Amino acid sequence: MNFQDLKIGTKLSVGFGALIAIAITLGLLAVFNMSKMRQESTIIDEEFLSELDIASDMLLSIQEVAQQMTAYNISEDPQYRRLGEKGFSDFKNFASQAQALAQRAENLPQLQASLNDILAQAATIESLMADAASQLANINQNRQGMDQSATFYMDNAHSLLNVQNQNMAEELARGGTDASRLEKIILINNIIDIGNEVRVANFKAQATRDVAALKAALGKFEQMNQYFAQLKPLVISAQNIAELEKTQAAAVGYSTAMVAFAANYEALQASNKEFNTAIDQIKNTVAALNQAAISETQAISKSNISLIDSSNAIMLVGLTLAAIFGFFLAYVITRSINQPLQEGVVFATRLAEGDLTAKLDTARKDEIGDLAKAMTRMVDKLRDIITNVKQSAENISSAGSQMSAKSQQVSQGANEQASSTEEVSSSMEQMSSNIQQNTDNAQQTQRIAQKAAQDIKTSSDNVNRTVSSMRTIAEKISIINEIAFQTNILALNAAVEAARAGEHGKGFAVVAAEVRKLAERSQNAAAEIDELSRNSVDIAETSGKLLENVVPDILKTASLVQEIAAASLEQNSGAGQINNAIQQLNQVTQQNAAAAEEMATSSEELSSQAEQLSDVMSFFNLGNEAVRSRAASRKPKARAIAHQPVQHIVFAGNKSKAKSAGIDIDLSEAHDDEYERF
Amino acid sequence: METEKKSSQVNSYLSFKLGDELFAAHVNKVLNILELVKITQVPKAPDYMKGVINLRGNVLPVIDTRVKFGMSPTQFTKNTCILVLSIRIDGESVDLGALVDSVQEVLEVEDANIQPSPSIGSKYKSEFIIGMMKVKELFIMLLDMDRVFSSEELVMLQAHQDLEPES
Repeated sequence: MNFQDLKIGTKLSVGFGALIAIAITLGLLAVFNMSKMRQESTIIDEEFLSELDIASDMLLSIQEVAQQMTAYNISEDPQYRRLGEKGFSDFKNFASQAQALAQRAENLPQLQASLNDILAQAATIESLMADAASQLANINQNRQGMDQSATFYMDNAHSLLNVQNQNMAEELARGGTDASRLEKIILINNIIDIGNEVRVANFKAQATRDVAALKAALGKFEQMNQYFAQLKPLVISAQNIAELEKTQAAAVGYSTAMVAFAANYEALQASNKEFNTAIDQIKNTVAALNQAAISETQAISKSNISLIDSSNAIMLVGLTLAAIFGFFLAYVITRSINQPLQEGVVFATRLAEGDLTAKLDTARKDEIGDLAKAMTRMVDKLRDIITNVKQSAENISSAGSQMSAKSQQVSQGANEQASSTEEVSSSMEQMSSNIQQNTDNAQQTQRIAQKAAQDIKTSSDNVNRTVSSMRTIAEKISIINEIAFQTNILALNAAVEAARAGEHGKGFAVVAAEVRKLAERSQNAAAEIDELSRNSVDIAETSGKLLENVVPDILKTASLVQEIAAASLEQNSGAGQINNAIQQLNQVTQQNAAAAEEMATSSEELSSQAEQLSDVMSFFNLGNEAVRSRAASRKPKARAIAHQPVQHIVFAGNKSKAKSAGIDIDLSEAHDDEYERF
Repeated sequence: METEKKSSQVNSYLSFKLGDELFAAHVNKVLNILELVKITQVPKAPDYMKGVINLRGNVLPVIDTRVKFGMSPTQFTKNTCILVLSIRIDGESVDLGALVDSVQEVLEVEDANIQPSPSIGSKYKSEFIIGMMKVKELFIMLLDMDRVFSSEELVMLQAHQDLEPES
């Protein structure tokens, strides 16, 4: 398996996979180192720096305690003591923080031990601080004792001196004294002086806090005791002896107080020393802790720096390697794709120039090899197709010319059909107009008939009204008749009366006779009118009946005429439809004719296009020999196609129909026959 | 008696029709001419007695003249009238109504123009007929109304009339 035979995808995968692996390794290393550094830094931050912080605080607070306690010792002011205690409580607070840190921290093994030490020292300090007050009180008491003793001593000594001086002055005034008196005075003064000396030495020693000086001052009590011993035999008076003994006792008390003071003072100094030692020890321990934390921090920083340095080195080396490897892979892969592609380009260029004889190396097994195989197959297929196309073009050319001739025949037939259809169409139009006239006439007749029916109905109604009027007249006439009858009777009565009156009634008889005649005439006339009106009523009624009988006949006529009109309308629309159909037929025929002519030109166009196709196809170089033989083998088939031109034309026609929807052309032979018959 | 005198002086007659025949009566016998009114029939009366009518508060018997003359009973038409006659029966004046088919007119006829009725060939009893009058080419039979209604049949009428005032 060569590297060349690998698929392009595989090649790319191998290359990029290697690069990605290097990148991931470097990245993981960096992340690992970083996380380690972060861990160390966290330790620094959380443990060492915290330790440093707490230790500093502890140092500051214990220094504060030392300072305040020293001030207290010197000044004996309880305010400083309180401040010292406050500092000590701060210190304990920090110590408990340190304790917590020691329990929490993992990298501070010496902290717990140091802390234990510190706490022990702190306990010492606490007890010393508690003792300091009592010690100072003792010392004060001693001082007071010393002062009292000193005062007592001096008072007794001075009173003794005063007595001696008085005695001496008396003796001098008496004019004679003795040396013993002077000696006593000198001794007493010595005692006073040495007392003063002791006190001065004592105060000096206290001021300088020098216990040795104090003890040296104690040594002066021997000298004092000698002075007392020298003086004792000299003193005679009892009062003086008592004063002297009191002085000596005071000196003893003073020395005793001094010794106690010295002892206490030494004890205080020892306590102070112990206190200072404890403080110093704590300071040292804390300083050691500080130092340890700083040195640990420095160590971690140094290790971090070295870690970063090594990481940098590894990253640089890895990146360099990756770059080199990447360049190498890119070159190899590009080369493995590019070279065969260029071969393919050359092959395709030859194809574009029409050379179908070109060959391509297809030995490779990658995608480019597949492409080469496919292109080779394509070229083979193209060669076949183009050969077929060339032959088909020739066939189409010959078929096209035959189709052209047939199309012209069809065109002629269609033209004849169109003229015949035109004649039919004009006849139909005339018929249609006649039917239209019939329809109009029928409609008019119908309207007239309906009007007549309406009028007759009106007439009938009028006649009926006339009849009723006549009847009314007859009634009125009968009234007149009656009146006439009554008048007649009245006239007759009058005539009878007149006649019975004889000559006297003559004139009246004449009037009555005239009245009777008038009545008779009225009666006659009324009877005539009655008769006439009766006749008129009869006649009118007959007329009315006749008219009423006529109305349904006329209505029937009207409906019949309406039916005729409707039938005519239908006929008219039928004729219109026929006419439309014929018009459409005509149109279609004309379209057929035009289409047939177009077909003819199209067929010629087809022939020329086929020739052009042949010319175009000659562009391809097929390797002549093979194609010639193949073309020869195809020839007979082409001829067979030429023997069946009709089917070809039908096919072509159908195809054109399918293409140009709208023009309905069907050039089958059956239709051709129809044209012949038509 | 005055009426007798008058009748001799007056030559006027009222003509009427019964069927197609014309008759006349002397105006002195005629009191009034009435239109046909409602005739109240009288039970058990003779067939020529049509009934009674109310004439100005008096009961007036009505005689069907046609039946009296032996003709068919009167068919009532609008020309049918009732003549109110005053006739003498046995010297007493009696009012009665006579149904006639129609009343014609009052004629003045001289006595000279009245011819005696032919005794033979008349279908009516000649005793009723005074004479024949010829007026305008028509013959009118002049009736003696007293005689026409004076037959014994009318006695009961008279009796009836006599009874009336009492009741």
